[in-house]
Amino acid sequence: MTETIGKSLPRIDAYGKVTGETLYPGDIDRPNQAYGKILFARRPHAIIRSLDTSKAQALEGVVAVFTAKDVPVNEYGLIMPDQPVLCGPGSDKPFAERVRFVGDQIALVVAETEEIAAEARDLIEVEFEDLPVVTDPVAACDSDAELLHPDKESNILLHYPIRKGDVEKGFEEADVIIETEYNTPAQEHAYLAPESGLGYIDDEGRVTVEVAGQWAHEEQEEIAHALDLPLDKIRVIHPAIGGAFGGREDLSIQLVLALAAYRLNERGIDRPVKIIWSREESIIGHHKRHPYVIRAKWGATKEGKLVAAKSEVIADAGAYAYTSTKVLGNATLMVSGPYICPNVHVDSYAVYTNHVPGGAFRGFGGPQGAFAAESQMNKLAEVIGMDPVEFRMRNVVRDGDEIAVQSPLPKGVTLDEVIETCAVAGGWQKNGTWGRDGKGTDTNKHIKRGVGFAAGFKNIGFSFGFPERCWATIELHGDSEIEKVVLHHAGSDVGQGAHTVFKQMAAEAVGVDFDKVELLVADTAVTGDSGSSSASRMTFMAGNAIRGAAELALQKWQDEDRPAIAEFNYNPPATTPYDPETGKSEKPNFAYGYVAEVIVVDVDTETGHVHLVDVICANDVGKAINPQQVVGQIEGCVVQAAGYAVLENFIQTGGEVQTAMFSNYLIPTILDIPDRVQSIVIENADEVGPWGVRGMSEMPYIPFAPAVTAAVHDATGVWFDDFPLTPERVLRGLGKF
Amino acid sequence: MMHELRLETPRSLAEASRILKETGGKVIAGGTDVIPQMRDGRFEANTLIDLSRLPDLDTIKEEGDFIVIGALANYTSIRQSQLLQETVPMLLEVAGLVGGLQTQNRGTIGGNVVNASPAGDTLPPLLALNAEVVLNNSDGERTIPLSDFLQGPGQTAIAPHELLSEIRFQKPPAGTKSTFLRLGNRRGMVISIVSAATMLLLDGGNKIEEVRIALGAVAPIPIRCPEAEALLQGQVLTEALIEQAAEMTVKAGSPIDDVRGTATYRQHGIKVLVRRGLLKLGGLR
Ligand SMILES: Cc1cc2nc3c(=O)[nH]c(=O)nc-3n(C[C@H](O)[C@H](O)[C@H](O)COP(=O)(O)OP(=O)(O)OC[C@H]3O[C@@H](n4cnc5c(N)ncnc54)[C@H](O)[C@@H]3O)c2cc1C
Repeated sequence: MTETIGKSLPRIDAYGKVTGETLYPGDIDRPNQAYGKILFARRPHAIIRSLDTSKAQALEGVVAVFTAKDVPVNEYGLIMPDQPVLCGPGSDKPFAERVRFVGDQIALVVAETEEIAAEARDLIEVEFEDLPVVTDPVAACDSDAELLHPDKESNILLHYPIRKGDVEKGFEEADVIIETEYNTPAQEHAYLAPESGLGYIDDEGRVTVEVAGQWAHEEQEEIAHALDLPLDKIRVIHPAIGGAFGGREDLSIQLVLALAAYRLNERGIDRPVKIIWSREESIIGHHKRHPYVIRAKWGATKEGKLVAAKSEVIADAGAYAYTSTKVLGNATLMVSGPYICPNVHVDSYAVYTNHVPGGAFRGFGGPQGAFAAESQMNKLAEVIGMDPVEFRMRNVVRDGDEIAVQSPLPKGVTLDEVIETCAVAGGWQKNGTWGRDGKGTDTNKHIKRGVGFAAGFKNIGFSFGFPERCWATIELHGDSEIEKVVLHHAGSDVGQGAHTVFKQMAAEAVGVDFDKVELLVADTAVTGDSGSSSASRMTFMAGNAIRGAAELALQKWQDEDRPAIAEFNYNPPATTPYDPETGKSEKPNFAYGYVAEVIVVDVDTETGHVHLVDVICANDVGKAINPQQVVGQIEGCVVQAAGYAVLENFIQTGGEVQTAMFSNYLIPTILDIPDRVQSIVIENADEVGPWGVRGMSEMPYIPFAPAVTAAVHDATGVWFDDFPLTPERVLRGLGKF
Repeated sequence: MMHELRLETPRSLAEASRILKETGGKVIAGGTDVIPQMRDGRFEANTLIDLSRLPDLDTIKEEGDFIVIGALANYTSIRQSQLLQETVPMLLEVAGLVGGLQTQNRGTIGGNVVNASPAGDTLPPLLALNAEVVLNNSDGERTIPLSDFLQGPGQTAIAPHELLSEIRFQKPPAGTKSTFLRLGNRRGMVISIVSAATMLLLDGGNKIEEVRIALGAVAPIPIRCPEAEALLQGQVLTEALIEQAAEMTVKAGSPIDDVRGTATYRQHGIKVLVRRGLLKLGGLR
């Protein structure tokens, strides 16, 4: 047998996807299926006074219309059930008759065809009483602000403080202080496949949903809660998934599909129901990256020592909680950077507004926090006249150094090495201190070149006391030797290639050839809970679970069990929540990866266009199970982060989404992505990661935007504290008008 | 909401005109505007009249002093036209910028003209060329200047049962240079926020014999800049003069704010594009 990890084996899903054989949820049809269309609120804030579906019901070809009164337990939510499944009168949940953002769902029409369903949807009569629309997260904190959730005391969903040392004393010691307000934008995930899927009753009578998601068992649990059914009566299957990026962390169509299958079955109608969202429905219907307002005041000595970091962080959570705890948690940690600072003071808030909810998106709040932190670092370096790499090297945390939460990061902190490696690749040299000669040549007197640097860290897995878990089952078949290995694992392959690395890790753990491994994946009926394919955790968690299961199965094999079957639940080292007063946390996360970026830009100072010339991205990934996929993740992440930093302008006015189409929500095309991306893969083993794996697919996002703004500053002398760097914003910043 | 849609595929202009008159249907050429508009519910039609099978309406040719572009010529064929390459290179530039390759393979110049978007990218070059459009119905044909044809956003002088068959313009004198520049929020697949077509003919002594400037996306319809053209006409081209002319073109526009950009950005953009266009054509940069 040969070693299978560390090799760039081709993706097991490549052939089917390239030839079109692979079926995504929208491609799957079942006999006799009916079609569903959702009536969205399309108003940001209102009370539904009455809901009349009689005309819709009466339309020929309509099978059923479901509203709030049909939902057994009309609430859901990943971290807290603060959202109605269907908004409107008739359920017993308080305030469920309210709509709080344009994408709130009011009714589901099931009909013979999609067209009839759409026509019937438009026949539903809704009487709204509009409420004041809350759009400014800062103003929403006021005690007299209109409440989104009248059963809560305020619009402030969460508050995390961090208190370390004495920040005012720190400012007294500082020679220079930088104070800035940063604004980061919302962002749409823009996955290729809009939400689509089927709901039906399977052969064993289970309410079954076939849909793209990131965490099948969580979806199963939320469906069971809403339908008030036992868990084993619900089945969630994830077929091929056309991208996720955090956008499928929360539910979209799962609940209404399950509801329809369940209620139709009750009425003796055994028909699958299929829903495909249009792009516009997808854009208003699922959450976005949280926009943040961050006010930062940091101080340093002229010798280049960071002495105080004070930040106020306000995340626009939109209408519902979604994963705001996790997103705000990370931003709170990362807003003070991976640097030694004796005096830290952070107050961070997630605030309800009538915007599309904020939720998971590659980086989970990290990119927002890091934008402020890294920009502060770059600005401080500038005013003390120190090279930005040198300034970082003087403050970067190493093994044993405390971060803002008064505990060190887990052993194996390699950010110093990552920074140095990236800097060297980006043209820096160390002659006593770090420095870089020049910044490249301007194309002409209007097109200016600049180079920027930023670094970061990213937690692996769910943090702050979350009960992390991941199940795997390994079956060893054969007689005298192992002929076949079957791995049961729920982990969703959202397009990142998870299933290929599962197979590699199973082969490695058992000690058989890659081809001997078969997968049974992404179906709650045959797998245990794997946790979510998010937070850079799946390779790390699955690898440890697979190793554990393989070890047990091999023991049974030794004991002559045929087949030898073992299951294993991997629990990583327990993490601890923020102390509610001081933010102190012994172990906010069980593992981290480290990243640094050098970005070269050309700024057209006449048109305002920022063009990305070079991106050099160094990542400590621990161990690259499949190096080609690691590079693929780096490049994909860079492209998505490039859209975030430069291009993607998600506009909401008065709670209405202005950019719900790809003709006005512009994501990068092949012409807009960086000319060159150099991926540097560093492998310093993590102590608990399987084979040393850390997890990496969010990391390039973390320092990207601040590296771009640093490069633009280098080119033009102007700091941009808000982005995306649209031509118009750039020209305004340059004082052109 | 639900209805049947008939697709007619006439094989001659006369047949197309007849069907158009009989059905009052919606004409479709490449469909790159029609299909999205239909999906948005911006019009309803029971019949689509597909022009793509009409013979000879996609040719690009010389007719005496004129260049004639068939309404069905798509961007790819414009991009590959030797004749246009030699005479009006800016049309090749436009054709290479519209959408992506798929759009260029399907989208036609006639569709762009009849769609009459303020941001339609072929319109400023065609205005600069003093182009005329040839309109047909079952009774005959008429030719009118493009500047009269364009009447407002999506509004033209086309009569209910007329078809556009050709776009014609006088071949620019030898030595005429031309360029098309545009600004959008990204590099590819984008609707212009501002666009500018400039044409320039210099005599041996750097004196301007002929100059034309047209702008897109800064007014309800694409416009010419007669004051700036008059300022330049007959003068020796210098950077200072270009600056003055560019400044003047800003006043020709009446841009608005929209999701893509503000009026202020558009005004700034006019100046930059006109300046860059003239500098480039004058060999000053
Ligand atoms: C992805 C994408 C990118 C695009 N990018 C650009 C761009 O960069 N710049 C730009 O200017 N446009 C762009 N467009 C718009 C569109 O492609 C152009 O306007 C194109 O020229 C339209 O031509 P068509 O043949 O597809 O027209 P169609 O959609 O077939 O028709 C457009 C209109 O003209 C009418 N019509 C067409 N031909 C005739 C005729 N011969 N006689 C009478 N009426 C007629 C139709 O009834 C319709 O009202 C883009 C469109 C898409 C989908």
